[in-house]
Amino acid sequence: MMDEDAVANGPVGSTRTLLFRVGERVYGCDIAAVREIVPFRPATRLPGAPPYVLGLINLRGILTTVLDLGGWLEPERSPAEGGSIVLVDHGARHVGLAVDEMLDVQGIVPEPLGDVASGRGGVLKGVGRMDETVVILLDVSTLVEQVLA
Amino acid sequence: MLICDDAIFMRTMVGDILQQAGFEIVGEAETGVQAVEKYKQLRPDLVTMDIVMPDMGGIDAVREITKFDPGAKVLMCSAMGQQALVIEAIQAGAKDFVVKPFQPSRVLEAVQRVLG
Amino acid sequence: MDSAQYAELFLTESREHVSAMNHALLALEQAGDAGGVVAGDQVSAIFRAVHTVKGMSATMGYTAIADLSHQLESLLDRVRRGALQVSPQLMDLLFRSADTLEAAVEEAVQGRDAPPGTASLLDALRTFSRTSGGMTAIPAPTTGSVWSVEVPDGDGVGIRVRLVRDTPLRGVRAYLVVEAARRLGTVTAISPSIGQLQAEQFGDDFALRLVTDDVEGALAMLRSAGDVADAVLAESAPEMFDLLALEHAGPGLVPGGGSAGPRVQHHVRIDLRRLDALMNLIGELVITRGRLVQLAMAADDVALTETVAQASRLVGDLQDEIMQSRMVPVGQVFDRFPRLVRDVARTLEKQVAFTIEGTDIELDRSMLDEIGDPVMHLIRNALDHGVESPAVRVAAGKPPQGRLTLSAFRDRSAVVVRVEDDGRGIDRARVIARARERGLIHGNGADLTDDDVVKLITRAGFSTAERVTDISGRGVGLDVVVAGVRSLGGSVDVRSTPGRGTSVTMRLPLTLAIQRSLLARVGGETYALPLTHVSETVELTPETLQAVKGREVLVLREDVLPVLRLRELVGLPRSAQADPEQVVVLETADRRAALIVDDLTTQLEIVVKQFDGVRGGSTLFGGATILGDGAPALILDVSSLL
Repeated sequence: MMDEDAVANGPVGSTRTLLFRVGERVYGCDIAAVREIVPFRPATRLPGAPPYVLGLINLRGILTTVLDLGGWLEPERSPAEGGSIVLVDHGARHVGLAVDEMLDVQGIVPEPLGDVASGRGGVLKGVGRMDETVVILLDVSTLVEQVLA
Repeated sequence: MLICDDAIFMRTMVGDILQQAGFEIVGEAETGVQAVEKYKQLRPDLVTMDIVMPDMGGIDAVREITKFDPGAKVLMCSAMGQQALVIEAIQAGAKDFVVKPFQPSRVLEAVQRVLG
Repeated sequence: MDSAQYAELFLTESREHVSAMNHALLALEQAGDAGGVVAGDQVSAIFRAVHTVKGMSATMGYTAIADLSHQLESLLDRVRRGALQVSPQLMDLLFRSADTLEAAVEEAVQGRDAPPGTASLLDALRTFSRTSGGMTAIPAPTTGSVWSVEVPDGDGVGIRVRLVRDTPLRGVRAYLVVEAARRLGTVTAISPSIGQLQAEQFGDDFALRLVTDDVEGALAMLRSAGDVADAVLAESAPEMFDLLALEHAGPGLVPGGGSAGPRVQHHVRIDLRRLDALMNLIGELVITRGRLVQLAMAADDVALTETVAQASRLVGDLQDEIMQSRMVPVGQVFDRFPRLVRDVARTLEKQVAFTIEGTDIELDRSMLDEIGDPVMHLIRNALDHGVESPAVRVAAGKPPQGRLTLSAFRDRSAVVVRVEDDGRGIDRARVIARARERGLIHGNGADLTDDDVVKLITRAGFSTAERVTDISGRGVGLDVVVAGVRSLGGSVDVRSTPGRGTSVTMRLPLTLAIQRSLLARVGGETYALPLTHVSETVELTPETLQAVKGREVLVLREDVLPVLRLRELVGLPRSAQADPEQVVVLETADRRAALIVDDLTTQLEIVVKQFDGVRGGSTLFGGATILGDGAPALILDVSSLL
């Protein structure tokens, strides 16, 4: 058995990170920004919106805009049709991010991104490691600000 | 208890104070005319009466109520600076008075005094 | 006492009283020198309003408001008693007081200090009282434990009474003690005199002589009178007398000459938040009803269908009742405008007869809260830019006094609010010049129709900071008003005739929360069209569609309507199949258009919900709703579409 604290909180300097798969890659975001994870459901299309906006879903009476994270990261991909929706809060606003598969919550030590992927408006904010896999860390607040009107 | 005041705010506050002390509010009136009518209709044990009300002020209402029932127990609700009016009300038959701003303890003391 | 629970009530009621005060002030001013009875009534009304605010604010612990209203009340009392004449200076001071009082009320409820200017107003009120008449000297109350008065000579026992220190209305309290003593026996002497007692010209204590056969009982009674700290026998030896008859000055029984009395209404106060919660719940219930009706129809069970239909009707009735409970007359908002018109007209040195019509028309509380500002801006604009100065009017052959009318009326499921003046109308040349400056049009605008010119004013970006004068002050341009009204699901129509006047008509849904809508389908998607903006629906026949100047139009009876296709608006390809399409005739206050959809499914109540839009997303949607099957559907914003 590993030390339970280490499992729960990860190594020193780590952030509790929600890990998920989009396409072939593993991404993570700070669990503090995540409100809820729900199964994928079809959304009502928002005319005129960019292709990576799936549309509106009804979450217990609250209308939530859902983004196709895959479509945003890799515009050539076809839109998500399954998987999960990660609901993230940013102030009073909330957005759903459609991802292919939920993986885990782990303590991840963020490292600077270097030159790997500049751009994307600062949404890609670092990398980390989950076992042997490289995880790309997302700043969801910046993403929400960029996408919402 | 019958509460007469043209301000809902005041009626609510007086009502709350009295209810919390276990009194039953049988009616409210916003004008002097209403106060007199409701008194005749409801025969309350005690009336709290604002002095300044539209449609017959509190003092005239006290006069009318006392005419109808000399044993009526009316407690005047007054503001600072209304001594002459309160005295007039007492001469008209009011039994006691409380001064705004209301403190629950003072209101209840006055009510007890009037109910004897 | 926990004041927080009363703050809301205090706010609502204080606003009403300030509004009443403003009304009475206006009437008082209009009554002018010929005042007489009218003026007296108005002064009394103002006094009552101020007095009530004073009592409430003191109770809430808002001392600044209590002080202000107290000073105001003193001043008004002098006016009421005729000690002070109504003068323009006094009117100005009273109007200013009403404004400060209003602001102070709002600030106090927010937990903030009284607005700047309160202190100077207090000074002004005091100065006014002082310069216009003498002050009554109030003797400093003597304090301490020594008895300050001598027991007067007379029959009976000498009794000293001390009141609790700082007792409110000490004079009345003392009077009550004397009255109590009179019921216990015969009072033969009082010191100081009863008049001085009433006038509060005494310290904490006073003395009297009482003839009674039960001295101890009398002392006990007096001690139990309100606010009596102590009642003791004075040293002088008592002389016993027989008990005299109890004095009772009560009047004989007279059968009450009851008047007809005002209409008695049975009202219950409900917290606004509770009403909002009820509204939300009924909204959810309406959605669930939709789902239930669908399921019942699919189940094809007669008993079930009937029961569901009945439940459905009950839900509808419930909804109507709840909606009704939220309706408030527009007068609640309109009532503050006469005052605004007076002030603005005075500043501009214009003469205006202001009329309000339809104050009893009702709107949902949520909507009413939102329309106050747009209407205020329209009125300010009308006074500033519409109504001319008396000299200009006379030169143009008009009466010197302009007319300004604010009216409200019901039209189907909408409420129409109109602001109309008989001023100079919209200046075509200036509008075109401005629009060119702003880059809204190119060329000299000669080809623009009057209608196009009016449209320009309402275009976003037309008004600018430099157009804001002192009077429009916090005022804004018509484009901003239009945007505001549209965001409420309403529309604005502007009509103007040069030299004759301008009218601005707002068409508003009854409520923000629920809209009766028509559901339209295109390519498997559902969109909601608010019925406020639907004038009729017709089936599309090829012969009614025509092309005029390369644009598609629909000929409907004598009307030629521009054609919009919902498929194009939402970015779907044109329908391939030859199925009959449906036409919805959309209307705003001033424009009509024909919208072609694949199909119309049903008409139902929808609950309007807001969502966070995305950048680059269409602005054609004013919200969304949740359909019976739980799926979101977008609501078409007809105003921005047309």
